[in-house]
Amino acid sequence: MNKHRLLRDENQGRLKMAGIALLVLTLVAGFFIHIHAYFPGTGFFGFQAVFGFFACAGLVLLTRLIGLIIKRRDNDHV
Amino acid sequence: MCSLLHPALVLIVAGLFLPLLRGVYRNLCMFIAPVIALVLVWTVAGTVDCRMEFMGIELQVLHLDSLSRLFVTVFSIMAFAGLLFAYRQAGTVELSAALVYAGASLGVCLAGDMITLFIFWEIMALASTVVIWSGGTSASAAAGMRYVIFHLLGGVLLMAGIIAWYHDTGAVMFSAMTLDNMATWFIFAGFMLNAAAPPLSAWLADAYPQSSCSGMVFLSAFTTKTAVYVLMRGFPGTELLIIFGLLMILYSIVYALLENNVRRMLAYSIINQSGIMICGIGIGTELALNGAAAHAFSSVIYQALLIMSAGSVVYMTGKRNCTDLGGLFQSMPVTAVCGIIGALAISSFPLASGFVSKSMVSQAGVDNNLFLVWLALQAASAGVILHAGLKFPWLVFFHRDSGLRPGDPPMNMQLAMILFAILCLFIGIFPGTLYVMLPYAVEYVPYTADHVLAQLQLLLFSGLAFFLMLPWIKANLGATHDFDWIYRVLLNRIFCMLHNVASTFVNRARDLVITMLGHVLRRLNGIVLSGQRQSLFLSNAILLSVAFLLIFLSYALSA
Amino acid sequence: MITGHLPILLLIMPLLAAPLCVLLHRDILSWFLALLVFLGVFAGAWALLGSVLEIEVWRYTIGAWESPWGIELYVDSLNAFVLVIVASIGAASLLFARQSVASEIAADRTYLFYSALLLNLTGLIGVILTGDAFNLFVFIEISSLSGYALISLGRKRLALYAAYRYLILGTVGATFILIGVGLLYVVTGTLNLQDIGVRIADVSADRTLATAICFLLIGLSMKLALFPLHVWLPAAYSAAPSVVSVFLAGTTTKVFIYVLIRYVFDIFGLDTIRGILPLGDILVLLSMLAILYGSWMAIVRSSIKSILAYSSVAQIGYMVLGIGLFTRTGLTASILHMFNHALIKSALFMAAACLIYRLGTDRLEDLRNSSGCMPWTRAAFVLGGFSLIGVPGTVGFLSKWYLLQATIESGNWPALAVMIIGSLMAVVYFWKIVEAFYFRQPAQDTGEKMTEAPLMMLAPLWLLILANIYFGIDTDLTLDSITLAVSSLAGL
Repeated sequence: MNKHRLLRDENQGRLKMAGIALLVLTLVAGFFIHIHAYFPGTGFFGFQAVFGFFACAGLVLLTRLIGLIIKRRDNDHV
Repeated sequence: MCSLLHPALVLIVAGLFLPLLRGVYRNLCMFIAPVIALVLVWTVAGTVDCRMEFMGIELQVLHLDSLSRLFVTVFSIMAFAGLLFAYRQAGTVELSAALVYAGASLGVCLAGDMITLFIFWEIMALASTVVIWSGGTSASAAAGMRYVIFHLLGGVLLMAGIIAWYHDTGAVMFSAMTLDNMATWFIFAGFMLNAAAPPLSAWLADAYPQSSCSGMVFLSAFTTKTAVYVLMRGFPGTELLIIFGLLMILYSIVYALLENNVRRMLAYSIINQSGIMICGIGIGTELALNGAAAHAFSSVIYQALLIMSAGSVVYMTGKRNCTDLGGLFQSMPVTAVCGIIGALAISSFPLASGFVSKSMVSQAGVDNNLFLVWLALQAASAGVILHAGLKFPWLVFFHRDSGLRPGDPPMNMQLAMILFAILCLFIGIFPGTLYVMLPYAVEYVPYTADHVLAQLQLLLFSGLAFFLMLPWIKANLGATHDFDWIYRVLLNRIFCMLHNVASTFVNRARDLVITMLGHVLRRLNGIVLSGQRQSLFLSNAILLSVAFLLIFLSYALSA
Repeated sequence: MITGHLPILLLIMPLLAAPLCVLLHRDILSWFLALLVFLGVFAGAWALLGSVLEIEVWRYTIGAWESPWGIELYVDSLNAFVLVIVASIGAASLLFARQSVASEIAADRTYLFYSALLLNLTGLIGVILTGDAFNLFVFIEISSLSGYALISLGRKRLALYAAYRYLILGTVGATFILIGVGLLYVVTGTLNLQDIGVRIADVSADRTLATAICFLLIGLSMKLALFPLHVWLPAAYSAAPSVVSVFLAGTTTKVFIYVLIRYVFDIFGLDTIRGILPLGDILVLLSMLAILYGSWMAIVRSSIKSILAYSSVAQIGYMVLGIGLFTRTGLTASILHMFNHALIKSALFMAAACLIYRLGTDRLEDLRNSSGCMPWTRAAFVLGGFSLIGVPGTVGFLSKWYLLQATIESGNWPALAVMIIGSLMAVVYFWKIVEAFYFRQPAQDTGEKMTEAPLMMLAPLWLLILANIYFGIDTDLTLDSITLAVSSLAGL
């Protein structure tokens, strides 16, 4: 069976490149469009990008920690 | 009496008559009821009042203004699309219950007084329970039971609050309250239970995923959003709500991240989105309330869309876990596209509906100089990526190919999804259509270059973090203990223990007394009783002594 | 002319019909006679309530001997309302009775059954209407003795045990009441209830009076099955023939609660009571325990009639709780719940009787094996259960509303907490039954399909269910009479 277009190896690489290009593009656009700083200390270049990244990373780490407590085996109760 | 036919009654009556109808009449009755409700609330301009008397108290059973009209509108649309999604696959009981459920939620939104509100509130609880039971498995029967107990608890709290309020003020009209006495605290607790605020939240993720694929679509829309509505009416600007809202956001992200079951994960995303609205209600400015209302409107639609999409996947594959799915976009293109549109909407991507509503709440945080709240809301925006925004569509439709090749679901399910996907985009592209329905005038402009760019940066880099940490996220997938562990396991164990201890103690004590008395009798009179007769005779004797003791005690008291 | 003697007619009709039943001997004839009498009492009770609502009090002197020397029947809106409860439940039970009785009681004893039922009704009506303390005791004995006989007719051996136990405790209770009445006579020198009420104000709170009140109250508590003196009730209700359960559950305990209200609020008056013992606190405490204990036992039981019986223990707790609060709203709630609970419990016991009639059992385990049949009976049971847990639109909701209002008004937070917990426990035990009805797959296919209960049983059942809904929506009739009754009682 043929692989779907999006799943072929050469296209996978291209997709990755496109994604990275998109990320860079949004950052670069920040030079031309000034993002309004609502609070002091949030106005530096790329704040939103950095915040988004670290917020997510932080949440994943936090979850990892909390997961140690609240994880259960399947069918532990019921 | 009333100049307007009550829209809630239209749906409830249609729901009750549904089991008696067959074929085309059944479908007609089902689909025309929400349309009638919609027409009813939009053909009357301004506000409508409708009063009647019950238990000697004057009730305002119908009070229509812009806020209630907004909620009635979205609930009617929701009922229509939900029925469209469900009507071929679900049983009559589920459809009928869903109509009653939708009707009761309209009733809550149109109630001018708290007794009417409470009556519809209870009908909603019972009808939604039937929807859960229609899941048809023994797990859904048990989950439905826990669900109904929880909601009847909320009902009793609410009722106690209403009565206390009536006792304090002599009125039952539903208007804004402050949390300064017992009555309002009880009412608040009743409302918060339906809003799934922790620690009264576990019922949602426990029960909703046990309903059928179509049942959860209805469940996702009505209960939590009516709670948002009543909080908006009853407790606007209550600061405690900000804290609860943020808690809900954080708590649900953590649980959704750990969750492997697709529908359970989406259940947590319902709590997540309600948290944003509740935060907005807590801020309480006109912009914030507008934002909360608008977000309720758009979230009903995208939430349902996501759950329809997940429901279609579960319906077609029979698999519920992220780890068993993947690569489905190849064979379920419509479902995948609709799911992605829902995901874009929930993550407030520009041009999708979430963007134009959620940003109003953030903006309200900015205007009130609430830095931490704003920051938390931004983090919540980023965090959506971790559940419904990216985790759900990525793991289900892309990622590793699971080898499953199910087709798209039947046509009616596809149509319902397409309808809602279009609505998501329509609201996102033409926010004015939503803004005119809001309770206060809107000056807010969502589409400015810097706002769009900021949101894109936030989302895309959150996405980057998601992809980089995907192995960690996947390693964490599994089942979790929620607050329900307390009442499902802990309380159960405690009760069993207490019951055992108490019954052992009582039996031992009774045996002991009976043996002793038996001895005494034998000594005194030579009477020998055996077996049942002895225990009957002696337990009566004991009771008699208890009675005499009571008399003696009260006699002593009186002296 | 006849309407002028309505109170005594209500008493005489069943009394005369009871021996007549024995003479008729044929089961269908005796049923028909009993039915006629019950329907007559039903009509008479409503007529009496109607006239009392206008003239407020009707003192009917027997043989035209003026009270306090003669014996009188005393009718006001309170006991006329209780009479309506008893008469309505009685009429519904009799309509229902024929087939259920035929299937559970040997044909050669049926006429005795109806005769005993008529005597029981006579006793209850007498207790309600009489204005004389000693006659009250006599009527209690009439209703109780026939009650023991009725319960002992149950299908199982357990019925004999239950009846015997009820006999002992009931006799003790009645004796206590008699001792109390005797002591009251010593103190006041009269047996006319209203006259006692007048004279007791002049009696200083001495020990004789205190003892009299204690004996009376404990005797009544035994009769109305207040925790911890309830032990006779669960076995009696669950072992009795189905029709007897229907009738007793709706009437007996309510009548004794009425007597309690009459004595506490009308005869003694709250001032006298307060000077003697903290009755309100005791009643509230006991009723809270009753609610928790009854609900818990209902949860752990496994047959429908037994669950319903323990639920009655809890519901009696609610009624006594309303009394114990000593407020207008509390009393209103209590009387309202008497009416509502009679409708609810009799309907539920009727549904149980229908199941027993067709399936021969009411154990949940066996019901699971027959899920899917008898849809009307099951639906009726579910609606009745909704009323029990207080869903809006049913009478149960009104009870819950007024009881909560009463507790909140008097600021009794423990009682409020107990009510909330109790109402959730009610959901649990009601759910156990519903689950057996609808959510269990049959363990083995019995092959035969059970038919619905006969129309003669379904009709009264649904009549009561509809009454549950009707009186849950139209509150004028019930609340008007209760408000009048409450305002006529002294001391509030």
